[in-house]
Amino acid sequence: MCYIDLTVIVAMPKNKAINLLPQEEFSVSLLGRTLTWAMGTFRIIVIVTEIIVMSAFLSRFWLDAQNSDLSNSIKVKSAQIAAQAAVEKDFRSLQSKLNIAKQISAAVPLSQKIDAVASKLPAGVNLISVSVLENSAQIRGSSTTELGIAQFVANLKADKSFKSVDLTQTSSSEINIAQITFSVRISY
Amino acid sequence: MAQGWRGSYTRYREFFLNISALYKKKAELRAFLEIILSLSTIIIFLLFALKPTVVTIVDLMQQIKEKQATLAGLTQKVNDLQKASGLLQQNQAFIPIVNIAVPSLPKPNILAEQVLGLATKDSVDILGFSVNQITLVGVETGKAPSDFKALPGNAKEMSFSISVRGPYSNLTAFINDFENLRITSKIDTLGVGASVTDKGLVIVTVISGRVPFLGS
Repeated sequence: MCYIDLTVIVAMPKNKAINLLPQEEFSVSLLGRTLTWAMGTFRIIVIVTEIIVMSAFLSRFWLDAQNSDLSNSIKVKSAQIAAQAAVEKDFRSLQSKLNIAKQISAAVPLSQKIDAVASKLPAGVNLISVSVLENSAQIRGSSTTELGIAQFVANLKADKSFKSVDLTQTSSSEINIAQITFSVRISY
Repeated sequence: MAQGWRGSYTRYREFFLNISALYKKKAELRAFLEIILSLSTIIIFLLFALKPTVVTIVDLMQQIKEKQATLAGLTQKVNDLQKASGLLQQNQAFIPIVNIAVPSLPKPNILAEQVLGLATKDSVDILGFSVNQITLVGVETGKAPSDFKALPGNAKEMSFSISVRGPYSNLTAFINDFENLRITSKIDTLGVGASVTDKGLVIVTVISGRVPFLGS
């Protein structure tokens, strides 16, 4: 018996590879390898998921604390603003008043418009009435000559600040027949 | 009874031992079972732990973002209020002047006093002074539509009309002084008319305008 065994051993090739790991049919098959890979991967996925869940759970506490701090800060600031409500009201009121005063003061005074008309009167032409609005003016005057009226209208038209100058009416004066009354309309 | 219990125990023990042996013996069964259990774990975690937590976290982060924006606005407002308070302190002397220029409430008496003072200063006669209907105290009723452009800054208005008589130079001085009054006024129409009467040449000026006020 012992002789036979030695004969078998002596008969074996010298460089034959010996694999001591059990070669199961399942672990070498495609399904087996796929399942083995899936098992390893899924383990990692489970671990990562657990880490994410734990992180999310823990981070919620931090976010809650931050939210609470912000709420407290907002309450404090709101209280500060409420305490200064009177200052805010006064300041806004003053700002509005200054704004109103500034805008009204920015407009050209109507007295300047009357002065502008009066300064263009030639000799022999008199004003009977001047009525000035924001965008227009109505002038009534009298003159001894038509030439004086024409000169007055020409002087007015020479002023670039007037948009239009129209002689709207001329007639003989009822009181003094030697006088000619006229009306001029100016647009600004 | 005991026999039945023992019989069932033996039968079920064999059944479970068979399954256990099958589980240990069959590698693919172990693999499939582990994969199914892993998937179940992931799904349970995702559905019952991660999803509600993520929803809450997203909600919290939105709240934090909004609160941070609110806090930034409030901080800015507190800083601005401090600056405003400082400016008010610095310009304390000018505040009464601004309040006279554009009063909070209509004050026709002050306007009348100012006009009287100017008439005396410029030597003109006051022919008329009128202030249109206005609510001095209490709730303002509906106002009549104005022919003129509304005053800036949504200011309320007190309409007035003044007629004065005098020499032309005095009248122009009166108009200039009125335009430079501390009380802000918007002159809508300005008329100067001359007429010859028994007493000679009479020149009359009519000023119509509006005085702004802020209202309560």
